[in-house]
Amino acid sequence: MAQVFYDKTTVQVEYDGVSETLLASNCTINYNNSLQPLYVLGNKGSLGHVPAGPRVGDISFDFLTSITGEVHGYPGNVINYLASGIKHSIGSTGSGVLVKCAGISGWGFLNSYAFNAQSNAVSTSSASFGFFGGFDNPAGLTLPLSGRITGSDVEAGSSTSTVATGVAHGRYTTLSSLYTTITDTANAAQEVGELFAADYSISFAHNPIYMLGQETPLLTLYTNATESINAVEDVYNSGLSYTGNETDYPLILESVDLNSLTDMRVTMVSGVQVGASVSVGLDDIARSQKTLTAAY
Amino acid sequence: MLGRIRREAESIAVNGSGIQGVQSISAQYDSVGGSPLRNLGINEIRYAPEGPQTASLGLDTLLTHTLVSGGAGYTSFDLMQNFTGDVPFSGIIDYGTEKLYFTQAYLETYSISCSIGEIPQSSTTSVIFGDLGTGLFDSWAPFAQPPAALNVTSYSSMGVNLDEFSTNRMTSFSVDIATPRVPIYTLGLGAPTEVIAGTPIEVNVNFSIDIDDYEIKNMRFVPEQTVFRDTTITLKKNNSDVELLRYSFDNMLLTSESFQAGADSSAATNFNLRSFILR
Amino acid sequence: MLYSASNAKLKIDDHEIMASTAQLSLNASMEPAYVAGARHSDVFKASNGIGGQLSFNYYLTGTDYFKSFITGQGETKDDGGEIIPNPISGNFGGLNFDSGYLTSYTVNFPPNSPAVASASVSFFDELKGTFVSESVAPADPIDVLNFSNAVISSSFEEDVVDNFIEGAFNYSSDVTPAYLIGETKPSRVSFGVKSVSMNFEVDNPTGNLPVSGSSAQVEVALKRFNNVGIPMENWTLRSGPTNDNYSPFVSTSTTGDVSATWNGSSSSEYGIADSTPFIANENEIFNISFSLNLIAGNAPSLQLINQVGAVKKGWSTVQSVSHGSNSFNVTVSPTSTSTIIGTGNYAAFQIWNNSASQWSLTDLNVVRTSTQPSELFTCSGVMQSRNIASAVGDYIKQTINIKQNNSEVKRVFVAHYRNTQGDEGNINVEILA
Repeated sequence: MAQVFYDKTTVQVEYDGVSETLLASNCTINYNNSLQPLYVLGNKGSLGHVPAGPRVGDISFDFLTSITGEVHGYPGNVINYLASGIKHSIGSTGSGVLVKCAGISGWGFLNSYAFNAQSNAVSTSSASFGFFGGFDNPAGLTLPLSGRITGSDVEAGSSTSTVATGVAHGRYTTLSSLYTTITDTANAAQEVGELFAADYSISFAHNPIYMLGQETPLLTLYTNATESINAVEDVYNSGLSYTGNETDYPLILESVDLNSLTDMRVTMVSGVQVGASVSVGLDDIARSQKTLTAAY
Repeated sequence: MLGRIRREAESIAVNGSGIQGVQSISAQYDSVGGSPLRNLGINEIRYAPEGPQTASLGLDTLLTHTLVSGGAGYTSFDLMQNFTGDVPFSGIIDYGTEKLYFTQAYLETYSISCSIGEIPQSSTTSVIFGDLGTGLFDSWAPFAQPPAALNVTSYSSMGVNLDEFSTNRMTSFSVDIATPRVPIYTLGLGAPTEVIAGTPIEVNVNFSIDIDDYEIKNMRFVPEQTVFRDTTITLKKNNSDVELLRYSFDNMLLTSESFQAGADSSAATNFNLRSFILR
Repeated sequence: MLYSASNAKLKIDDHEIMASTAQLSLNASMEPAYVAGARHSDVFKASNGIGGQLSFNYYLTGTDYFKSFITGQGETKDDGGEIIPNPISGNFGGLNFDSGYLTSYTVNFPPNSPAVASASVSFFDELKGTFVSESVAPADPIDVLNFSNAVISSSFEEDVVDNFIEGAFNYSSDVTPAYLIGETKPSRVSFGVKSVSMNFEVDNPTGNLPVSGSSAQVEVALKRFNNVGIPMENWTLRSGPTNDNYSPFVSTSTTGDVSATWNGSSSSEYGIADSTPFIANENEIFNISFSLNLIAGNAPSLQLINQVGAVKKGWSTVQSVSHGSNSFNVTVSPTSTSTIIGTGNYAAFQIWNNSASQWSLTDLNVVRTSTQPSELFTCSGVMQSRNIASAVGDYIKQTINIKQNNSEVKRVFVAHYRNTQGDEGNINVEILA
């Protein structure tokens, strides 16, 4: 049987009529049952294994933060679109997303999404989905995961070498909404932080509801989401608010050639600062890190 | 016709001052966008810069050139020694009819060395955090003419104050100064917003001597018999008492000694003194 | 000395119980005896008999032997109208009692979980016997029923229930000892109120709970998993001069391979071999496949029969076997009206010839493709209570409780017969309800 090399495997996400191939650098798929050994009184050893829960799967992958795609008019990649859509949704029932990699696919729910921005570096993102099964349409999937390792010929891209303008980069990404400003009004002095790096992450709570008589869930409820941003700067604000100052933090990720038509936007709505730390080590400056969080 | 550029058409000026006695110049950069982005199912080649872009500059000169006394706020008569602090320099390398410009260069290592019968040499390496290339980046002061008079110093006009050298003949020495740099990069900019001069600065002075009564120390002398020395090396203008350069370091720690003897050579010793300077 | 939990079996009426936990407790009712003029007492007197209780959790693997005590204790009367107590005996590693009565029985129904029952048995005497540690070799794997394969049937007078999330079946009974003068161990017990109820977490929250009552019936059927392979090992040559006419007969493989040559002299001399037995419930469907190499003579026949008992009855139609690959779907169904298969009983395949034949069978594979319930929990009564709960981050949970309205056991007898020849007479045979 032939091994499948990485150039024949892609990570694809399909949702609401949109199918996007992500620039993934790795992908891990796990599938587990809940078999437990059976021990009874008066008997040495196990009398076999019994299932104590349903089968569940998960997939996680890292990918380059691509920003040139468009999903229903929103620039960016499909994961960013999904995350924004779920966190602002008012419904409770999750509808699931088809995720495929190397011939294995499942209908899953977004558990987490994150991306980073650093100076002079390509921005990378990560995402993870949970698979519970139970869907009949359209993919006909009833089990959490299905398929076997198969490679597929990837659609050829540009034949000439190009600069990766479709990927977010720290060269022109300023994230100025995250700058910490401390002000001394008495002396009309102000200090504005220089931002060295920032991480964004959001996690979603999905709750599959199981019922008697079948292994797969009856439905999956989306309950809440928690969003977090960590920003590393050189200014420390020790005046951490006790009650919190709710602020919107728009993040705009630019590509490496500062084309204003290609940027990806994420906004943390009503975020509050919950942490501020400073660290310094040998041969480095003192760096501060603040943590912002929002809940949906 | 294919031409050549030889030394007559090559020169370097730093901060507007031309440098004499140049033995070699090297300037190099490796593009940080040289490796393509890779992903699962890769179907095209795309490049993006990964990491900050820097260049390196190497400069070897004879210690024949000295600055005019008190010129431009410098503290040392050797131009490059003035950049061991936290001040950057810019410059132009002329070759033929072309000019190679560089900005925001920071000295990383500075060393001088001298052996019997030679003119002392200076060797520096620098990191360029700004720009390097043939484009015109900024307005420049015109290339200054080097001073007409060369100040040549030689081995015979050198003084070292270590006691050992009254009975043991010094054959060569070297002084190496390493100045660590910490560049600070922020989002949205390619060049660092600041380059911090690291501390402490490490200084190594190495001597080679033909020994007569020099005593190699016991290698287990730490801590009771740790040896600290003050060292001063003075370079004077040839056949003159005019002092051109003085290197003076206090409380240098003896860090290594070696002994060589051969059938066709004199017994010799190398020993190294090291000190650290806090900024 | 300390003993391991694997050194003591739990048995009820000599049936080994697949228990995960067991607890035996004995309580004496000792009271200090105070006399007039004395502030303190160092004398204790018994104020009541010994009270003992055995509580245990065990896995349901098929028809639950223990559940039969719900309707089997304190219900039936003898000819004189006296309640037949039908006590339970218990044995834990040699410590035993012989007059136990089921006081509670609970089965929780969580989704995707193995079926575990909890039971409590009360007894009114000390434990007899001596604890003896027993070391046995590891037993064969067992199949535990799982609620992911349960079928829920329901009928509600007013509610609409689409889905059952989880639930529980509960039984409890009052058992009070009756002591005669001079007895320390009761000679009889009285059975008090018996309660059977089920509660379920369901969807479609509603506030219906009429004061006059709303009827509800729920049945939870536990089935084995579909499409599970049955391990087949040796075939056994049946004994007796009319049955053992295979020679040579070879079946030593642990995979169900068998070869036989008929050596009888007339068609009344059969060669019959029985396969490894397995539990088969009526109306279940098994798929049997194998390769037959018919070397000479006639192909054998194949049929499902009862494993227990000397008299064999057909539990499926007879299959005709041919040379090469064979695959049949066999439905467990009696071939005559006098045959009762029921649930939880062992079946086996019989393969036979009564004429010249030489064959070998390999690649035997038996799969239970369609299961029938191995155990049923039913509750027919009225809606007793309704509970609706909502918490942040969770779904709205509605729990209903159904109380069984009549737990009386009815006994059905055949009292009179008349056959096709016109014979008739009186009999008194109890038939299963």
